Amino acid sequence: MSRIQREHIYLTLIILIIFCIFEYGIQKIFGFTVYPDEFGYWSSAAKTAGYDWHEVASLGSYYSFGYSVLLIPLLWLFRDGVAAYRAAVAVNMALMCFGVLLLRNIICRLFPEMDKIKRVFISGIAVLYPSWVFYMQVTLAEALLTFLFLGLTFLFICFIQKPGILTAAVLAVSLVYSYSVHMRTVGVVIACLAVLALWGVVNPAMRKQMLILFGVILAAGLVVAVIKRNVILSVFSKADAQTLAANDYGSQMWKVRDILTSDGMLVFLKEILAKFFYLGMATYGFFYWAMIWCVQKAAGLFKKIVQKQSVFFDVQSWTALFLLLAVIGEILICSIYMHGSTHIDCLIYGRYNEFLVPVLIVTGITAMLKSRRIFRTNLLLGALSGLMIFPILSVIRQENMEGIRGYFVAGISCLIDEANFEPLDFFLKAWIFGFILMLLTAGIFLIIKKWKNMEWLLAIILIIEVFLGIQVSAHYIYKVNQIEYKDLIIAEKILESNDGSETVTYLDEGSAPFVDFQQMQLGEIPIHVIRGEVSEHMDGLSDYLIVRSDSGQKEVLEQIYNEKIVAKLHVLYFNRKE
Amino acid sequence: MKKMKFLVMFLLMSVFLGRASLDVRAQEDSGDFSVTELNQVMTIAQDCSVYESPSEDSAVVRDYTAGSSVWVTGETQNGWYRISYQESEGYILKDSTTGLMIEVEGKGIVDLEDAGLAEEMAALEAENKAFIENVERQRAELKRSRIWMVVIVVLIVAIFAVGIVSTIKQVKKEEGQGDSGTKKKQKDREIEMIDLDSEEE
Repeated sequence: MSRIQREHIYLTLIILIIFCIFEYGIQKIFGFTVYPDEFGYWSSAAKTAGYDWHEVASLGSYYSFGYSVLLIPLLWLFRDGVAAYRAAVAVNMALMCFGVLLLRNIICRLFPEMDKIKRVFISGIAVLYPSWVFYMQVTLAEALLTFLFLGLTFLFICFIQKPGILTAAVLAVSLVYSYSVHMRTVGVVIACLAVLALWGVVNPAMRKQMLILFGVILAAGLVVAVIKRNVILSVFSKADAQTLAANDYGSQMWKVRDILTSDGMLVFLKEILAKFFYLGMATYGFFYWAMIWCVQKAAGLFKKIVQKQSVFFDVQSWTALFLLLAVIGEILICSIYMHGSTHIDCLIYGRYNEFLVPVLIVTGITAMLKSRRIFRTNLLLGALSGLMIFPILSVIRQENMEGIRGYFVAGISCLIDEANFEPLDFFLKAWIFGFILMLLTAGIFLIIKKWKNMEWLLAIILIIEVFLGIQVSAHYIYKVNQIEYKDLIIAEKILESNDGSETVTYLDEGSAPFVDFQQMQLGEIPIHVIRGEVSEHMDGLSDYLIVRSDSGQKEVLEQIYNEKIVAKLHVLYFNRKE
Repeated sequence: MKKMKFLVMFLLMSVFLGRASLDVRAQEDSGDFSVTELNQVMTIAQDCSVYESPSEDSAVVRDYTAGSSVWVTGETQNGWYRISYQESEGYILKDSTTGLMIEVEGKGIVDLEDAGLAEEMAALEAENKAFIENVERQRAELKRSRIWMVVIVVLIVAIFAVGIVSTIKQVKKEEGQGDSGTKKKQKDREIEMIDLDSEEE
């Protein structure tokens, strides 16, 4: 069996594993896991598809419309809410499969000396990162963002290798599109523009390409701004100003002011350290190696620029600088957004940084394979990670943080014991688990370096990732969906007996709204939202009224309506038709 | 010839009668085993046994005590209920259960119909139906998940298998090359020796 044949076999097997993970979980999925984020993306798509979900959407904040572009055709194709959601998960799965191929291409361009079989395994390890497996099965923007970042990195490398006008234009559009998918990618956008600006300064002959790049970004940016304004006006029109601004830049100013104080700055630095700890432990140390490689290459690049050496086609150095600035930018932005939160997961918050991880895993593994001190370095990095626990715990105590939402730190959530959560216990376990895996990967890489044809041992890392990914999915996604399945009965009742003239209303009593799920199932039947006491709305009560199952107004409602259906999250009140 | 005709007629008659009797038996059998589909949970009113088929002559597969709940999936015409337990089926006499029972203050355990709670019964039936559907769905889901998990494990094992086989082949190839390399060196030495000998001569 030739190496090329083996390469294709391994590639096929890895893509099949991704497909099987999708099939394993798809029948357990009926709707949203994370509220109200997922609905925020769907509601922008629903507007274009002809649905009116703006009242329910206004219960949450503004969510970028970029991901909604992918969801629009799914709403056109599937009238059933469950089918549309599962189709979106299928799209995420397809992006993961393409991600393997794209990463292989990135490795080929960035590290052409890398063995073909190793390229396939490294791509597989990067894509099967447990958090990506988790995000694949929900309709948050993270799955698309992760794929987009692979695309951005690929385009960046292509542009440095062969600076064409078309590549510049596509790169610019991709940057703006990624910003429209999630505003927090502004860190990546700024990093890319900064690196390309420096590259343009160092290579004056490329001014034309640089002008086109910045010109397209400006034009696309204006379009995005206009679309954003329209989306807010049409989809989130009924949201109050505070709720609407929760995710936008305006509501971050008080955090920036707090960070600029001496106490605030100390806490901020510890928050940054916490994110480094999470990324390091969740990636079994590959993140640390990636950072070391990026810093070394970026330092070398600056040295060459100062010495006026030719750096025009030094792809690795320019890419390293881009990745380094992207990581710094995203961690800073994440730390600012999460500053002041009382949840422990907000301190380490993987969700806003993990879209960078697959590319970092690739560079990290490559750096490890080239190193002559794999084991010693991993031992040192592991020990240093242990020291990070102390400042993390001090922030938790100082800010009175409590509670952890595991789906935001999917990389290490397998260690969370929700019933008996203790921060010290959890972070110690995360460190020990990560440290052991760091030593294990070091051992595997040493064997691969010493003996030929042992690349298949990298499949051990794949096994760990696959099972961690399924575990976190089972613990958060499938569990929540079991509850949602029981609530389908409410939408089914409305749909079977609704002749188009009846109205549906949700009574918002201030608790977290899960009615998003019902709106998704009802599709073209809009749910109106009323607030406060039922007695204040007696004149306009609709044919169907949905309340949360913990509503305090059930007694009143049972006087008004003669029928009810009790599901898990909601209760539906209506009058039996004569 | 007449004997042959008589024999043929006799055989034809016996086949016809036998077929007819089989049909009758089949009808009786299908009449015994014809089951009207139901889907409800009932309570056992008195201790009873579950039989393999709707006949007290068949084997007893388990016993139920009064008060137990059973999932009734069908009803035969000869006074039996078909029930489902774990992943098997059995039959109990209809007399063993008198439908949905509840405890009413001052009255003890009564049939829901007697208690005059028809609406609650309908609601309970709807809940039971939803519960049963959910259980069936979860079972199907579990089975499906197991299959896909097995496929994932097989794919991972395949990766290892391809790797191990290729490594073994590579080692054997290198050993073979090593042997042929050694043999080539020996041959070269022999040729040198011959050359030296001929030079001496």
